[in-house]
Formats: sequence, C-alpha cells, structure tokens
Amino acid sequence: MTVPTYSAVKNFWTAVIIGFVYSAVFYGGGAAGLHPGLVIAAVALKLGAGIYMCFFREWRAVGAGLITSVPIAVMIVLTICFAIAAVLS
Amino acid sequence: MDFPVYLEMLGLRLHPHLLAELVAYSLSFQLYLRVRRLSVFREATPPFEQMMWVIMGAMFGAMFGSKILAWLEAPQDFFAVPFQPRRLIGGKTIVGGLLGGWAGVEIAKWFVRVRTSTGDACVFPLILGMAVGRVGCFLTGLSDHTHGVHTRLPWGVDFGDGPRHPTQLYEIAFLVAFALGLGVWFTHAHRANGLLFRAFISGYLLFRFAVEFLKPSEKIYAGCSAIQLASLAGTWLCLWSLYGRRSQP
Repeated sequence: MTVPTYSAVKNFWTAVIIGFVYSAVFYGGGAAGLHPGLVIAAVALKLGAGIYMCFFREWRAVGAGLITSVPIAVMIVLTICFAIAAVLS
Repeated sequence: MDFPVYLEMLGLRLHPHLLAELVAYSLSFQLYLRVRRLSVFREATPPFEQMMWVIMGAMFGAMFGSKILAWLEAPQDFFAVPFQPRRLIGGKTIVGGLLGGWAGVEIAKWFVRVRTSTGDACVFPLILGMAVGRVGCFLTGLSDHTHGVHTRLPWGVDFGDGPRHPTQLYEIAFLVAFALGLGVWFTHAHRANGLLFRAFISGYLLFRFAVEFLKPSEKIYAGCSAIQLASLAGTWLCLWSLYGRRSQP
C-alpha cells in the first residue's frame, strides 16, 4: 500500500493556476457584459473557499493558493479581459 | 513612429503595454525560480509552509499598494463625476506595488514568525520585470502617463505632441546600470541578509523621486506628487532599517 504524499508546493501552485483559470472565465463574462456582478462573485467565492480550506491542515496549501490567486488575477487577468473586451467592442 | 506602437502577431493587433506586462511577469517569475535555487538564497528561504503565506502577503500588498498610490497620484482621473467603477481597474504604480508588497511580506512574516530575509532573491527578477514593463510604457506613449515634460534636448522623443523627455527609457537605462552595480557588489558581499533588497529599494526610490520632476504629473501634495512622497517615505524607511541591520554584530 502506498502512503499518499503531501506536497505543499505542488498543491499551492496548482491552486493558484486553478484560481487563475476560474477568474479568467468569470472576469471574461463580467468584461463581456454578461453580468456586472460576475467579477465580485468570482472574488467572493474564491476567497470563501480558500479561507474554508485553510482550516484543514491537508488542504491549507490549496486554500492559500486560491486566496493568493485573487490579487494575481485582479492584477493580470482582469486587465487582459477588459483590454480584450475593449478591442472587440 | 506613431504611438501607441501596436504589435501585429498571429493576425492580432496587440497593445504594447499589455504584451510587455505579460512578458515582464513571465520572465521575472522564471528568473526568480532560477535565482532562488542558488545556494546563497536557498539557505535564507524558510520552509514552504511558511513561505506560501509570505507570497500571499506580497501579492495582496502589491495589489493594494499599486492601486492606492495610482488613485492618490491622480484622484481627479479615478474619482471623477460621474463615478465609474471600471476606472478603478486601470492604473497601477511600480512604487506602490514595491512598497505595498514589502509591507505585505513583513506583515505575513510577523504572523508566521519568519526571521530570515526573503527579499534578496527578488531583486534581479524585479529589475528585469520593471525594465521590460517600461518598454511597454514607452511604446504606449502619451496615454500611459509615464512620459516626461517637453524638451529641446536632441534625444527628446515625439510621442505625438512635440519632443518630450523619454523618462521610460531613462528608467530602463538606470535599471540596467543599477543591476550591474548591485550584481558586482553582491558577488563580493555574497550573503542574503536583506541588504541587497534594501539597497535596491532605496536606490530605485531615490531615482523615482528625482525623475518625477521631469514628468508632467500633478504635484498636488506640497509641490510633490504622491509617488514622490511615497518614494521619500520608502527611502527613509529603507535606510533606517538598513542602518539597523548594518549595526547588528
């Protein structure tokens, strides 16, 4: 029987990338004008999920990664989505 | 040359600032991953269970710092009537990002009880990212608000309304020279104890304080811009902590 290994580094950066992609979908929808609340919803959901995961030791790195993806996505993804929306409109 | 200089790629017309920003983020992150493997930095790096909170602190601090200073720099642009929330998305400042990121790191380190210096490994990736980012600022031209005042000097660049100081190029030149100087100094010092990071921050902030006088920014705070005041405050903080570290046995 193999013992499952716990890698904080891997979990953290995987969660950052997942959070990044998740934001791209939501922010893209918000920038395209589907619903203005999509951007706020994306941040609130991701923050909530990340904070909840931080209460469990095995999920702490994933939670921290999700929370960390919030400012990264706000600084990068949001800018890209609104730039693309501006070009397309 | 007409500004902004759009870049044609795969049939797409890409905005120079967006492209340079993405290239800057990618290159500096790749360089950081390589630099931190060097033994001199690896010894100072705390376990990742602590380091992830420091990264989080840096990201949140950089986000809030870069935005808040941009809003303070030109409040009339961001809080104009009628108020448009979308305006708040645009505008970021490097000085705010650096100071906010540093504050975020220090707060996170205090919470997770990290005593070692973590900033030295970030210095050269930061310099690379900032220099590449400034290429995007230069190619964007007037709408980026990073250009200088009008000049008759032969190297003045016409962004569309007459020759101006290419302050973005001045900054790139400064960053390259500063990186070389810091690199030479660090190969002799060869110790990751926070001195390199503080030397970089104080040097860059002093440069920004000076070069802001060549920019047509709003000097609405006692004859200075918000960036200049933040630069002065950051330099003082940096030199104060630098002095504290040097006086340690």
